[in-house]
Order: sequence, then structure tokens, then C-alpha cells
Amino acid sequence: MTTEFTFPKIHSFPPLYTKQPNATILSNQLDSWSQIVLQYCEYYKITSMTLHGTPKVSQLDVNLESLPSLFQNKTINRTVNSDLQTSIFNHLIHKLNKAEYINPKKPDLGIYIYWRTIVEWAQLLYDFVDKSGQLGTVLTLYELTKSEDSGVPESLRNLDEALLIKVLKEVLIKQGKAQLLMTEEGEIGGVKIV
Amino acid sequence: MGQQPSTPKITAQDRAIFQLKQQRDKLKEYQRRLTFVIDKQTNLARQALKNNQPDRAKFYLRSKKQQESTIVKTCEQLDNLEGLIGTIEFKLIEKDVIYGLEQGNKVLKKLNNEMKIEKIDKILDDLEDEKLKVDEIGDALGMGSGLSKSEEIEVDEEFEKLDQEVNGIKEQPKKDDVVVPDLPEAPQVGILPDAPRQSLEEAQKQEEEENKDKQAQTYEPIAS
Repeated sequence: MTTEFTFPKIHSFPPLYTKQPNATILSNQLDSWSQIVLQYCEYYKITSMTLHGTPKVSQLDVNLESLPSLFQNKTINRTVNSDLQTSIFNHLIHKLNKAEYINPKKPDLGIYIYWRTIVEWAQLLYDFVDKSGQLGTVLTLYELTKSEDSGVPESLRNLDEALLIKVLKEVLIKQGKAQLLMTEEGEIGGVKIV
Repeated sequence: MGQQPSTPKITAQDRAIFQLKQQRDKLKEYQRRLTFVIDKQTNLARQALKNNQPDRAKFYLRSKKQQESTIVKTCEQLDNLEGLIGTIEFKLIEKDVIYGLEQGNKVLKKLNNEMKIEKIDKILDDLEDEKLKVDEIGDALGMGSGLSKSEEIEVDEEFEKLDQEVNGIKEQPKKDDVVVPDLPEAPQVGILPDAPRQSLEEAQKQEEEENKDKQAQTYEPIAS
């Protein structure tokens, strides 16, 4: 990644870092933050984050620690406190449906950020398998995400396997378009998409 | 509860291919790891040289060489696996093709069985019989469907007469036009009169018509 993400101007607006008491203004504030989170994650292809806004998994081959921090603005010396962070993520999860707990029973594991919804991910995946004439053949999760020579489009490359499995389970299998294959160790290792 | 959409079935072949592909993925991962190790060893060798430890550098390079040859070997194995996967997938397609041919053959056979020549002959005969019956009934009731053959011939005659009336006159000047340029100009006017020629033609046509009548009469017994 050569150029850094440029935050929108509002990211340097000090009041944005204090939870607003007025409900309407708060709602606007949370909307603004949600937009920033989504843009930030899309830019760095971050598919999941911790509850503190630290990137967990990205499709890009970058050092996640080197990315500019999302909830901290050093130039204006402001940081989003954890209460507001929780509100922002709750807004993303429950209001906008643009995020989801990785494991609802263990919220500490972090959340998926859906700058692309899982239905859209499923569509991308299905289109690729269809166009490459691989409908009805068995594909390993490895070749769907990591393999260099399987012709996977850039948009799908290096996709978090956990998210990929979620996409398969919650969309394609429900549509009757996919079936999972287990490895000998009992893990999900492959999928047949028809 | 509720309706579950039918999920695609995983066949034994799918499983086999899946296992092969898993092996392939493992090999690829192994290659990645080796490449990583090689990079590390190159760096270590460089560092050893800087620290004036030529033996150590050589050791690293040797071990790097070994990793490289291992990579080549894994490449061959990968080739094997990919080849096998390809062969299996192709065989599966061939199986489908053969199945298709089999099905097609079955259908064709069935259709051919339904169309035995004797059967068709019989059907055609029956059809002819039925047609005759229809004609008979029509005749018996005195109102055949359409015209009888003799009537048909009468129509033809009338048509020819009309045709002559309408087109015959037009044809004649044409014939003259064709003849005129061939003949020398002077004798044409006086020596050859038109009248006898016409009567000859008419006579010929009448003869022809008489012949047709005779022919028609000979056909009639066959028709009824």
C-alpha cells in the first residue's frame, strides 16, 4: 500500500470525538463515524476489527499495525473513548446492518465490517466460479483465496477464510447452490458450488 | 423445520478430487514456506559474510541450495497431482458424454422400433382403404368430394379453350415477329398468304384435342 487513507475532513472536527447528548445530533454523529469506519475498512480491505477499532484481518499484504489509527487523530489530539466506540459499532451492527459479531457469544473476538455485504461477497464468488467454468467442481478454500495461479479476481484474493465460510453457509448453502466438504480433521476444507 | 432447498450432492469422485486438491494445496503451502526459508537463508549468508564468517555463509548457501532442489521436486509432484486431477475431471466429462450417447441411442432405438417398415406399409394401406371408402360413400351419395376425373379433364379442356381465346391471339403476332427478320422483304407480301397457315395450325390443334379425348377415355376405367 503506497498511499495512506485520507480521512474525510470531519475526522479532524473535534466535537466528533465527544459523544453528543442530543439524540438527533448523536444519530448524525454515529452516521458520520459509521461512514468513516466503512470507508477506512474498504480502503484497506479490512474485513474484521476488534471492538477497539484495530484492524484484525485484511485482504492486503500490509502490516496492520502500520495503518493510521481509526479512532485517534493525533493532529487535533483527540481520541474516541471506548463508550463512543461501542456506540459506533452498535450503530453499525444494529442500525445499519453493516457489521456483525464474529461470534455473538464472544463479542470480544471482534466484528466483521461489511463494506461489502455477505450477499455481495457471495455474488462475487459465484460469478467467479461461474465465469471460470468451475460450477459443479470441487474447490478448496485455499485455492479460492490464497492460491496465486487459480485466477481468483483481486476482489476475492486473500479473503478471510472465516468470512468466506460465513458467506458460503449463510448465503450460497441457503440458496441450495453450495455444499461444504470436510477435511479428515473435521474442518471445512472445500466447497462445491453449482 | 421449513423447506430446505436441496443441497448439491457430494459424490465419491468429488471427494477424490477434493483430497487431491488438498494435497496440492499442501504442496503449494510447503513451497511458500521453503521460499520464505530460502530468502531468510540468503540474508543470513549475507550477514555471515559481513561478519567475516565464510564457513557459516557457505553452510547457509548449501542449505539454501538444498531447499531449492526440494522446491523443484515438489514442483514435479505438483505436476503429477494436477495431471491426475485433470485426468479425473476429464474422465468424468467423458462419462457424461457416454451417458449422453447411451440415452440418445436408447431414444433413437425406441423411435425406430415404432417406425418398422411393415407397420408403415400397413398404415399406408389402411389409409388408402379408408380413402377409397370415403370416395365410395361420396359417390353413393352423389356428391363426391370435389370433381371426378372425367370432370377434371373437362375442366382442363375448357381451360385450354379459354387460354387460346385469351392468349392465342397474342401469341400469333409474336410468332410473326420472330419470322419476319429472317425472310427477305419483297416476296413476303405477295407470295405467302396468311390464311392457309392458320387453318393448318387449327387443324393440328383439333387433332391434338381429339387425341387427348381418346387418352382421357382410356384412363377413365382405371379411375372409377
